Amino acid sequence: MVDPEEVRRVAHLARLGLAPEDEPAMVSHLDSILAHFEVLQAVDTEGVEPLTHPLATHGQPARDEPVAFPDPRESLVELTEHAREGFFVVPRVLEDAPDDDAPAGEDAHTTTPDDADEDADPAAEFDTVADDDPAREPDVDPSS
Amino acid sequence: MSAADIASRVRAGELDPIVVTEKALARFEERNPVVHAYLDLDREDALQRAAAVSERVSRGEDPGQLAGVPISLKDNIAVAGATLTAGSRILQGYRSPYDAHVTERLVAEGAVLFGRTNLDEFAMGASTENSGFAPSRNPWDRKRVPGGSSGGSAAAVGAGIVPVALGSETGGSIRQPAALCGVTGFKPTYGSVSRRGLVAFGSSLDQIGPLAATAEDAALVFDVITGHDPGDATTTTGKRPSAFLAPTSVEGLRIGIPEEFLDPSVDPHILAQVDQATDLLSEAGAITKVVPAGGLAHANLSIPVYYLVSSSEACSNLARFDGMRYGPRHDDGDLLDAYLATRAGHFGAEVQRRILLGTFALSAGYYDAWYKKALQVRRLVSDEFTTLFKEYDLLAGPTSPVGAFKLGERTDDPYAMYLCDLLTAPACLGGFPSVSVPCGLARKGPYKGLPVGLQLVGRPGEDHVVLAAARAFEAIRGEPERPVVYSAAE
Repeated sequence: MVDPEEVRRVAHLARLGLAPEDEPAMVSHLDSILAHFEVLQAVDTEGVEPLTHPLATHGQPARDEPVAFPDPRESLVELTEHAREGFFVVPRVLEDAPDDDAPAGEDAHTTTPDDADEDADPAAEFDTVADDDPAREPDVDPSS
Repeated sequence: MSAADIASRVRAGELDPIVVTEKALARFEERNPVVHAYLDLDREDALQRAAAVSERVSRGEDPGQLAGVPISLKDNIAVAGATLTAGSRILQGYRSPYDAHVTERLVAEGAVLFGRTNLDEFAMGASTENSGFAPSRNPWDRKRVPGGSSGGSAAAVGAGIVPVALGSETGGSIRQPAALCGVTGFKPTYGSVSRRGLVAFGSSLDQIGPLAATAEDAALVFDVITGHDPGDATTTTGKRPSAFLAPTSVEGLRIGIPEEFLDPSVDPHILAQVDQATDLLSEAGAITKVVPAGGLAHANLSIPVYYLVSSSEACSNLARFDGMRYGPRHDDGDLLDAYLATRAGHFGAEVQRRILLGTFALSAGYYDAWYKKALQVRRLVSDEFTTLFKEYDLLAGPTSPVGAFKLGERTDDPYAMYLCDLLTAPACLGGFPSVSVPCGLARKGPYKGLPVGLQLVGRPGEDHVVLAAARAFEAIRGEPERPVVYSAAE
């Protein structure tokens, strides 16, 4: 079902740097799992509407008005050693500009990963999060 | 003492919540070294919370429906200032900046928050062996697993440390450990309990619910945590019927036992206990009937459907854990190197497998064949339940195909672990409420002397009917057996 190359492709999409020594077991497990799941392909689903969510069959649609939510910015920045002046510090992602105006000798660049990652990897499907978006903190469900 | 007893005696001024908490702490000291149910317990915090409830009583206020009841929370449910590891090394050092909605509700009703319970990493597993720290043990036999992923909560209640704990369920993570530890576990209707403050795994499946020593306590806690929350748009609006509204009688209740729940892979001695339980329900006036094969024709496909859907949602939800804002970070190299190394270095093997499985199912060229296909079969499974609910008020069967298995028994083959969800995943796919109630111990076979769970599934929004039936069954069944560790220091 899957070969090592496929697993490496998916691992890159998922931003998982699989260690070479872990790769054979991962390939074998995923291959075996997908072989068991292959049984789905035999089901006749012609004309069946996908069910993405139980609320599609009961409950009510989501409202579209925004809800006030406490801004945990300060407490979150306090949690990491990688912060400066209220911002998260991420590894350098932009090369120095060729002109002399570029700041020299800076070892880190304060930015939002969303902006940064586009250059680092155009294929990114990654939901890199702007640090000022409280609706996306780790214990909040973004798809709710 | 049950949560209901504690609350009523504390409200009446007959029992000091500080004494209740001190006793729970003594049981923790004695039994947690056996079951390893907790990742963290702040003793001072628990005593301070108890003292706050005590003050409310002495001021003449009513501290609420859970007055003085020590309640443990699975370590994927946020408590302001407390750790929130979700069982993962990638969240080591993180502390919640705010309370989950359920936490706010419990505290508002006078509960005393009591420790953080162990779980499989990001709630992915059926034994707690995928915990990023150490596995919990079954209170009935410490060489065996407590089930998972809410295994810490089940072990804490099963060992009698606390009368009730919260867990979360995506494919069976409340009911399966409840069955394996001999406690009651309730997974509410999707949308009846807010997920705000729950670390997201599979957002269209996740639901928080109670694990308790009695069905009455599960109902009591469910009544407190259910309700609309503006912070979770999937919570149902409108007044929910109280869990105590429906009569605690099964008289006239139509209970279907789908042939598919009696799968040949289910241990025969577990089936024997469940048979006996449905006979008891029948003797008490329920109209029980085996639903012929074909009623839930697609339920046996719930494992692939569930793992494809939940892993797809998980790979998106877990994308945020990249070391940039919290948790440890591998910082050598550029941003991409930091992502690759941090995520591979701090997610455990099972979490990595699920992320890869989900990313695969969602990726270009595979989406229709895997993810979309799974969602279509999900619809078929859900529709079959809906059809049966026209004829039956509840569906019954075993909760788990196996009893508490030995540590290490299923860790070599991930698919063998996935099969633990065979009978619980179907209700999750459609968002149906379901309870697991203890129905005795297996008499023979590999799980001899270990607890068996009876599963009841109800219509969406009829959580109160499911819980009332569980309470009725509890009354018919009588006091359940308790493990030795439970009564050691009462």
